[in-house]
Amino acid sequence: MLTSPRGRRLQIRRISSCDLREARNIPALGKEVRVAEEKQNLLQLYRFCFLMLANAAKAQEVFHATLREAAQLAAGSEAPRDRLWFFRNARWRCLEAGEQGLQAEDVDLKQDELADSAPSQIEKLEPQQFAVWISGAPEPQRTALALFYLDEFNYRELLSVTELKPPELSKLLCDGRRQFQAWLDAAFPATQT
Amino acid sequence: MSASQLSRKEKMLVHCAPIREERVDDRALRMALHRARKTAAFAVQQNFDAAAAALVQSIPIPEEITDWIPPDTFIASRRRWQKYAQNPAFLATGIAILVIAIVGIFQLVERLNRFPGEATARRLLTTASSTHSMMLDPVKTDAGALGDFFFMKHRLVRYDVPPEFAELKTIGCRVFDDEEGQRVAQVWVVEKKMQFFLFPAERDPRTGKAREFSGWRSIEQEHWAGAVKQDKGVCFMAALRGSPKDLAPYISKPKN
Repeated sequence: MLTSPRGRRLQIRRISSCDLREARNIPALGKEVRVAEEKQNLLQLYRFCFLMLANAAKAQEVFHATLREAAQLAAGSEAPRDRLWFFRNARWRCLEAGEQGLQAEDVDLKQDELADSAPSQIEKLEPQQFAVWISGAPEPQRTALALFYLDEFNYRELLSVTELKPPELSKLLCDGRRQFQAWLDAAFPATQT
Repeated sequence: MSASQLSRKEKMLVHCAPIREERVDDRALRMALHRARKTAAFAVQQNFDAAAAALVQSIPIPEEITDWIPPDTFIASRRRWQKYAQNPAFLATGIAILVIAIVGIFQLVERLNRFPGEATARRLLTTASSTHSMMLDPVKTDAGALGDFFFMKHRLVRYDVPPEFAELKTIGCRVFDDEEGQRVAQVWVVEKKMQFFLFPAERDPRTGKAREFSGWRSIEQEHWAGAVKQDKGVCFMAALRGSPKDLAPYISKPKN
């Protein structure tokens, strides 16, 4: 078990080798799922799952399940209509997987103004720590932050995948930054930076 | 410039500013960022986001995934019809095809409604609109009885009023030659100031046979409506001021 900075305990379950074999046998998954004008590195989907769950095994499981469903749809001539489908699908799978563990409590976290020293503070972090912090956020802030920091989407796409209104997305991202800054300040006090 | 000088909407958009410039594809967002770039707070936010995004990109991908999916594997969207529709070339072609289709359908419907002798019928509809009852010889009888009158007096064979209109009372009638030298019989009846025209059916110039058509055909011109029927080489037209709906009750009557 891992404990997130938000006090949320995360369960870890290993993906079975059987699941992986099954996923590997999917014929529709080639080197290129599809290439067109708007393309997106498929590995970013894994990173999204990892940010949502902070657990490599769970993220891998959701990643494979999403691709398996896409392949099955493609085999049935109903290939996913847009690239955002992968992220929407993975999002709900992550939320489902997250429901199995303890849920984040909706508490008012301390917020600090963004500091000039923030980049150097962030550099000291491991990706796992950042993922644990994001995965501990309540929905829909968790999805908003995970998608935003993937740096793969434009504004409209973010709104579409998160199913938020512009002011809601704006507030969640703004609060997220300040809360993360407060956490950074607590984890790496000024004397250390 | 300070952040407080930005409007509420601009602040809202700035908080969602994508980390990479190429992700900015919204006009309002671009405008807000243009103004926000003059503020120190935005620079701090951008540095903060860039550092966090770099951290996310350093998330290691498990070997099980990289073995299975090479790093240059992409998800790409299928082009949706909305995207094609937004392309000016497709849009222009689509509109042109639509217009051609509408004109085509219109012409097809018009052609389906055409019948031999339509040109003469339309000309006579103009005649009907300019005729006064005083111009006709007074004849008070049933319209159906005029067939014999036309035959006896003007040697016009089969110039008979169809049974649907045969019982209507006449005010007057006349026979005249139209622009093409055809003998036309004109009858004025009491009911709805209706006028009847009997004229030779259009003939095939090669064979000389009358071009036939079945049933009643409607025409409409300058607030006048006509119902035309052909029988044994002679066309009959009932004309009145109004619409084809006004003639419908007569022509839908069963024949005696």
